[in-house]
Amino acid sequence: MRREKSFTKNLSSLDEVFAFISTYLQHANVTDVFPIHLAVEEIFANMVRYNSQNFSDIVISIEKSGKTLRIHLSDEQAEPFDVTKVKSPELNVPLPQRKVGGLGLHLVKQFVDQVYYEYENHHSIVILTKTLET
Amino acid sequence: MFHIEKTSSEEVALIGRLDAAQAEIARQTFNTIQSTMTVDFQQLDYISSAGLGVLLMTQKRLNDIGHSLKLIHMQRHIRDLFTFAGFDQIFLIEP
Repeated sequence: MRREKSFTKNLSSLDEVFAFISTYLQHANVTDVFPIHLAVEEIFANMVRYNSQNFSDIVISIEKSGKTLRIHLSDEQAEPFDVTKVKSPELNVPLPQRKVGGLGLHLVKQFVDQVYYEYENHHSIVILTKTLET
Repeated sequence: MFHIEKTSSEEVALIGRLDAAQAEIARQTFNTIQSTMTVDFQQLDYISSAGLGVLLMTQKRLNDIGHSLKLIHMQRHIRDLFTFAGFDQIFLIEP
């Protein structure tokens, strides 16, 4: 079962994004929703922040096949920006040196198994895969 | 949705889902905190890096003036997130 939906490229779309993901996961009997919501939000918010100058949609597709969940987020008409190359922040430094930048991607990598980036025909695509325990 | 309740002069409660769209609401409230404050997470179901950023910036600012945030009553999945973010080393987190 695969589902796909387009979302306006704005943080105000997040409620709709979460609803779309939750509905799918419920049908697919996936109960551990939090890591999926977090990973999708971080990538979506990244696409909003780094490509807000055009009004193309962000298309999200989600598919569970066996125990593997695959989620594509595609930002149309985007400049190439490989989120997987964003450096994780230093976590073992004192408070004054702690930085916020890169934290979202670091968390995504903790919660899903793989994060891929593709750029094709002006589409910036991030693919998340996660092996489900249930 | 998300909102913040001031439960006493030294404690606030985060309620709902603190995602990137709601972080500005949190930022506005946390910017007004000028002394040590307990933050109750019991009714917070969700938080992402945007919310963590607000907490981090507040902790940095308070630390400079000899104060800090204390975080209490976190749900398990949010406690795990704080560990992944390394925030357990820069915040006092109590059950």
